[in-house]
Amino acid sequence: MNDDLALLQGTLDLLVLKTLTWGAQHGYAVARSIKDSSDNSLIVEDRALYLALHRLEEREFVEAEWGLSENNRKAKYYAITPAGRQQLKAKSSQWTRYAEAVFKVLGTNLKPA
Amino acid sequence: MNIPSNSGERTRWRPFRFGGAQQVSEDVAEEMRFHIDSRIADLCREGLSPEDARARAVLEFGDVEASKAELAQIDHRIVSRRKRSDWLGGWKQDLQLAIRGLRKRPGFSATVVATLALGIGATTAVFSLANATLLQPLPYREPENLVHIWEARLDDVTQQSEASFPNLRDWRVSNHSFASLDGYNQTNLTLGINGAVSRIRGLRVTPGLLGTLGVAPALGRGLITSDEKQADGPVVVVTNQFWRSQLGGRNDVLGQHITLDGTPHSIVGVLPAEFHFAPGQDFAVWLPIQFDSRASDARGFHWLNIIGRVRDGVSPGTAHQDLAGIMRRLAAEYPESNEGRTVIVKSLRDVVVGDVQPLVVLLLAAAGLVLLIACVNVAGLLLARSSARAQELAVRGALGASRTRMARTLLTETLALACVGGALGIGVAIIGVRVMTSAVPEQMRLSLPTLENVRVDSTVLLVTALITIVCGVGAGIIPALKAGRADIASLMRQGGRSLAGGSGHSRSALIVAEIALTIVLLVGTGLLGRSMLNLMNIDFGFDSSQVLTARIALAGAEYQSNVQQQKYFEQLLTRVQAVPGVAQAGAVSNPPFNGGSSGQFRVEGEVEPSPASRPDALIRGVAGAYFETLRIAVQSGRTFLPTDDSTRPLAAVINASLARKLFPSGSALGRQIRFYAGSAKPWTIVGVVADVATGSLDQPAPNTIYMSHLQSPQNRMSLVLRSRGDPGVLANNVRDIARALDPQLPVYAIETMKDRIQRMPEVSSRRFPLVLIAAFSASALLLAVVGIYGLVAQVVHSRTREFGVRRALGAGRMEVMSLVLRRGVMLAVLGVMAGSAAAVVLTQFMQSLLFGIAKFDWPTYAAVVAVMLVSALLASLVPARRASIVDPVLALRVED
Repeated sequence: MNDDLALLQGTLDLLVLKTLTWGAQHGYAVARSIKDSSDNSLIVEDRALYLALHRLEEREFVEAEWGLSENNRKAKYYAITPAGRQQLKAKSSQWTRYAEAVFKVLGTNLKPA
Repeated sequence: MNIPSNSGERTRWRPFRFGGAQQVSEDVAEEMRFHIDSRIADLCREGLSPEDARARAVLEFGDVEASKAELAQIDHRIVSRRKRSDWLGGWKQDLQLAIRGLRKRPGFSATVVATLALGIGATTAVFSLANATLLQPLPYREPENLVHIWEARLDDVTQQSEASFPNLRDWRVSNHSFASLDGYNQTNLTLGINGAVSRIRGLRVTPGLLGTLGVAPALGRGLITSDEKQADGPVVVVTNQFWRSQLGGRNDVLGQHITLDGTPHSIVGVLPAEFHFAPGQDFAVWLPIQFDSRASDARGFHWLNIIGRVRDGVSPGTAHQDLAGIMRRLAAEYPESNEGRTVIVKSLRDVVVGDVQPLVVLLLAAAGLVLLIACVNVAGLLLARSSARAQELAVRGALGASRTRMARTLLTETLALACVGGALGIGVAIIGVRVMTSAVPEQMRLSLPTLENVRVDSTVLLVTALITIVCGVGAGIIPALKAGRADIASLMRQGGRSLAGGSGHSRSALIVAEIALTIVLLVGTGLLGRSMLNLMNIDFGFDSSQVLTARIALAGAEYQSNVQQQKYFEQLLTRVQAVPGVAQAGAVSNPPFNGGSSGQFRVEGEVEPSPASRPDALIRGVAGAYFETLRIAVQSGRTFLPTDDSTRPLAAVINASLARKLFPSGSALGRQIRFYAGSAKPWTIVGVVADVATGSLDQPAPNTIYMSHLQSPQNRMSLVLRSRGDPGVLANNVRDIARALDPQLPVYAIETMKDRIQRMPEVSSRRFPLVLIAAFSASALLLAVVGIYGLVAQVVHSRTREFGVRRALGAGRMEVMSLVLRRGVMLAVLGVMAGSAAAVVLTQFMQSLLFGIAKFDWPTYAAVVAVMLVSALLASLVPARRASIVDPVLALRVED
């Protein structure tokens, strides 16, 4: 279970950053986004998600601000930074190359993104 | 896909702005709560009951508490990092503001930077000197264990002398404190190499000395015991400098020969380059000790300087007690030679740097004073500036700048100035060090070779950086603190001028301090200066003007017999006297200011003195018209005639103080003395001459007994001649004559007597610091004058309105001027009083460097006070005049 989490963490950062490119959101919204975007096939552990968000903030790939949610509740919003966008670009091309390599070995064609 | 959209209006605020640990935990908890509640809401919408929804949401999340802990940890790190960058950003902002502000006022900035550069530069330069001379360890293994040993009389330990070899033998055998004891003796030798002859200084040492010092030769070996017996012929070890300059630095020198005093010596070793023999001067070669029976067996013959290495953990005091105990035993066993004698033990370090230490400390103190004065000056300037900026600061305060923040801004300005000043100061120091090392007198340079190493190195730079920061903070702290305390309301109302009155008092205090410090420096300079003058005007007992000296040492087979030696010098004198420019000529075994051999004697017809209280005297052999040449007054009797030769009774001439001591009532003429060493024939006193200073300048003239060289042959003598014109021009004549007589004998130490006096350590060691301290005093005076001027000008500026009113009401120009002058003079008077008091206290420590003047030398103080008051008056004059010509109309206008 533990190493599944670690692997997911790296990919999770990627997914979170991508999600935030569509606009600043609070943690719950990001979770829902990922679930919806992946047609319910990717379900993110809440603990892991918040860990990812805070770590991304520490590395200054996202910045956080307190704001008011849709129902006027105090919520912490995350927005991607320029450095974050660069990280997203770098990591996603890395991930794509990784996936292509794996697929090559497995002998399957890669589905277009 | 459902893309969540941003909500419309939202107030946002950066988290962690003013939060600490508490805030972080609360924020994390809040975030988790929001998430759970949102999930609950969604679940409720899907149809679950609130309780089920909550249970499900909590289950889905997992361990909330663990999560909170993790997240809080990360957030704490974020908070710290942000605080740090805020703090740094604040400093950066301050720095940018500071630089901008300083560039807008180039005059002010330049003045502050120049002042600090002067102070820091002077201090850095002197610290480099202190670092090289006092702080460097001696170039030996474990130098703290090395001591220098002399014998001395128990009843007067200032009468120290070398040790005798039998005593050294006993010390070696009986001591408990020493790992080794070795001796050395200085000697001059004639060097013959490649056909050229010259005179060099050499060191004769016991074989273990290099080992005691812990030095290994660079080439070959050191000296060993068998070298003393010269089984394979005479050997020599050369120093590295000699090897490079005279032998070409070639690696194949071992086994080659050089001629010393006519005898070929085989080179067996070369000493390493970084080695220098600290207690002595420029020795070129090391030779084994030369023993004759007297040197090795006469317990009363003192000729060896001793260096010992104490065992680990033994202090010089313990070693001294050990040897003193042995001496007591020897005094009982051999009363003839050892009664009343003991030892002196000093750490080698003290012997080497002891002379230069008070000097360097004095210079450090003087430089420190200059630095202090510079800082005080700068503080004053900063205060003036901050009072001028009072309005700006008031506005800042009103807009919310905290007092600490404003103080920090001002301090940053000061530190920026200090750093620039410090950087420039290093440049000043580098130049200063170069000037200083070229001005160091020869004597000091020879006795302390580390003076070559004075430079601005990393230690010095570190200290400079430290000084710079301390100065910056010290100078800037007062204005910074004052800025915080400004009463904003009143400032805004009265347009800022009123602050000048308040800061005028602090500034005045600073000026008084500056003047006081300057007085201390000036007094120090004055005292040293007067000491120098006193030194130059001592009556040495002879006339040193227009006198040239030159020394010749006879060596080789042709000069072994007495007759040959006497013939040489007689011939030399005849020829020298024939030179047209020479008025008179003579010769002496050792000229004034040099030491020489001495001997104990007894007076015929008096009670035999105990060995401890035998009188002794310097023995001088003279030839030609020695006394007439130097114009040494003859008080009674006569000097030597050509008839005082080996066929006649032995005739001696003694000096006046010896005559007084030996024959307090009655004449010395006709009395006879006998020496203990050598033959016991009686010498009859035929004349008494005036005392001549010999050796140290500030000690009484030593007992001196003169003999004609025809009765007491000398194998080396110094020619002294009085020239009709400039004595320097006769040097070549002397060389030519000597070369004509015998080209194998080098003539050396050719100098005028005046130069010889200048070279004396007492003179040169005082001139060097005098020049430096005079330079410091001049700078300090300049700074003080500038400071007074600045303050008075500022006061005038701030009181322009008042002066305008006074003039409008009918005050005369002189009246207004005197008002202003009074301020300046009053400050000067206060400063003078404080400074004089401080000077009286501080010059106590200068005692050892003074000569011939009392501690409180009132002419010096009077002169210094006068100089200071006049300077203060002049400094106040310009702004005073400006005050007096203020146009009342202009002044009365509302100032902006």
